[in-house]
Formats: sequence, C-alpha cells, structure tokens
Amino acid sequence: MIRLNLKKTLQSAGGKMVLDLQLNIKKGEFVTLFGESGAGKTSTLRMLSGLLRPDSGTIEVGEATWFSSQENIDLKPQQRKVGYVFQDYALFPNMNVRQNLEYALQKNQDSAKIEELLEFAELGELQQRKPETLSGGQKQRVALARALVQRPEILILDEPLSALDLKMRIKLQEYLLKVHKKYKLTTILVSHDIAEIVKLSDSVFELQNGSVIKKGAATDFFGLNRTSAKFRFSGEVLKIQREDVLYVISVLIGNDIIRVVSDPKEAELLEIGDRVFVASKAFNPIIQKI
Amino acid sequence: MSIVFVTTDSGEELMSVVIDTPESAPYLKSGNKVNVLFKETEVAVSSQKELNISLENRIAGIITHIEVGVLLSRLMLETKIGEVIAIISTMSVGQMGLVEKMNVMIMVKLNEIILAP
Repeated sequence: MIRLNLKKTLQSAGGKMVLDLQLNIKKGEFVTLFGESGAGKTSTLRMLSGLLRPDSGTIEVGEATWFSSQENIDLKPQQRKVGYVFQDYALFPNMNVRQNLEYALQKNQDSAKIEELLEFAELGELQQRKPETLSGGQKQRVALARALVQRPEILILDEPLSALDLKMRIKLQEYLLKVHKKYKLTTILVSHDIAEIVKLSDSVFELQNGSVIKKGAATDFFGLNRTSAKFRFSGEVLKIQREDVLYVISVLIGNDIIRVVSDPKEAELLEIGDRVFVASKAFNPIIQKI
Repeated sequence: MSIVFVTTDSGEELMSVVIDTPESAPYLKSGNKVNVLFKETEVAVSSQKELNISLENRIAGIITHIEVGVLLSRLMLETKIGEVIAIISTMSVGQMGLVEKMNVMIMVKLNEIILAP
C-alpha cells in the first residue's frame, strides 16, 4: 500500500492553492489521477517522487517511510523506487538510445538490465540512434525503458501518450499494460482520455483544487455500467448542426467520425469539444461482413 | 436475454427486452428502481386507440405543441409518464391530420427501451 497524506501550498495560474490530499493506492494497482489542469495531479506525483517537498505530511510505501515532516525523513529522489515518464519524453538529445538508458544505471548496477529492456521495448535495432531521429512512439518507448532501469516499484506516467497520434496511442497503451504486469509495478497515470483511463486503470481518483473529490473503479467512475445499452462508445463532439427540427451531432470516436441525431433539448447542453457517450441498444446496429 | 416489465410512478406499464439476465446484471431484480430511456425518433404516434400492431409500449397523450419542419416534425405530448417528444415525418402529421390538443397514443417497440439503473 502507498499512503500519501500531504499538505502543500502551491502557486498556480489562478493564484494560491492549498493541496490537502489523502490518497491510498494498493500495491500492484494501475490507478489514474483525473481532473482539470491545475487540480494538483502533477504536484502530487512530484512529491511522491521526491522532486517537490511537501509542507507537511507523510509518504509511506509499504513498510518504508519516504517522507515524514514530523520525523524529519525525506528520501532523495534516487533513493525512492520511482520511475517517471513525462509527456515530452525528457530524453538527453546528445546521447543515443543505449546511452540514455545507461545514464540511469546506478553505480555497481549490472548492465544486463539494459539488454533486457532494449529487447523488451524492441529498441535493439535503434540503440545507436539519437532521439531526434526517432518517432514520438519510439521516443516514448525509450523514456519508458529508461524509467525501468532502476527497477522501480512505482511507475509514474504523466500524460505519457497525449502527444501521440491515436494509432500509436493504442499501441503504446497495450505496451504500458504489458510493462505494468511484467514488472509487477504499481502504476500511477495522469490522463484526460476517458477511453484510455478505462482501458488501462483499475481505479480512478478525481482531484479538484488539491483534494480528492471522487474515487472508484474505472468503469463505474464514468458511469459506463449505468445503462443496459450495449453499443456504447466515448468520443468528442466535433460539430453541432441544426437540421430541420433536430440537430445532427458529429462525434469523433477513435479514428471515425460518427453522426448522431439529437433533440434540441439535449443538443443545447452540448458544446464542441465536450466528451460524450454515444449509446444504443445491442438490438439496433446492423452488422455486415466487409 | 430478458423481457423486463417496468411500472412507472404513474402506474403505466412499460416493457423492455435486454441482452442481460438477472445473473449478468444484478439490477434486474423485482422492486429495483430504474430509469427508462427511449429516443424521440423511435416514438410512433397513432390517432386510433386500439391498433393490432406489434408495438408493445402504448401510452395515451395529448399533443401540446407541434413544430413542423420540412421533412420531420417535432411533437410535444403530455402523458401520464410526463412530457414525451416524438419526431415523426411531416408527411404523417399531414396525412393523420395531427393538430395541437388532439388525443393520441404514443407507441415504442420493446427493443427500443433502454433501462438505466
């Protein structure tokens, strides 16, 4: 179990915010922190990894105390078994793939781990390449492999896939799940993509103004189980168009744009960019072989 | 698969067919409260009270407002289960002579009813 009990005054874009957070994460779980920008998600993860010092509180991981303001304990980032993957990869541009991984090795650590990770991440053929010559998906695989060099117990993924196109995202989502299982990690993801969250995580914590306001199992959290409708997808509203007495709403689902007719009463509640569910009964769709 | 009978607060009975069974979906239990959803475009309107037709859900209503479009029209109806909107063709509105304050039956096929626990 990871137990966070933290207080920290933060300067955010909207002024001062007091982060006051109690968060318990089970070992081996894949959890997501969800919430608006500035809710305190990244600050929480930076405190867990030792990059930001809380004003007060405790961080306990299993039997170990990583931080305690009362007992004056504050482990250095390199003493905490945390791997951190950022949205912008944060690779060293002057080093090739292998060197980026080797840089993360601790003194006296066996370099066999590098071979294993290069192989697992399918980076063997790319090991001499510099980051600038790699695609976004390849860079993120390097960043992920580097985060695993020190055999972390906790893997932190701060919007790791949001810069990638959908096809690559889906591929890397599967890869993240594989990594989580293979290395028996406790993984903490920050993501805004509901489909991604539901696919990857066991449970979700929603943060608002520095506190947890809601938590639950991923599928229950977004109300996915709350109707008998079996044909359901989440997507983003692209267009809202009046047609006769109705509206036609265009929704981006995965790579496809679908169109749904909507009564004005419901269409009035929608705005372009809104995340929506589209649902229908299993009895309605037709199915044809392509 | 199950056919679920729902009694509304006003005492009307509605029927829905769902893929779930009481084993796969624990909310399917006698006495459990559910919300009933159906799409406005799936509502059929009849001016005759008794019809020999396989539309299982039937509720009496009064047309309170008609918005006539070029192809489709939007009928607002007052029924025992509350306000219902029906989207039907403007052609049908004309053929059936539907006007405001008229008493009609609204009908929905049982596979169009979504249950939300």
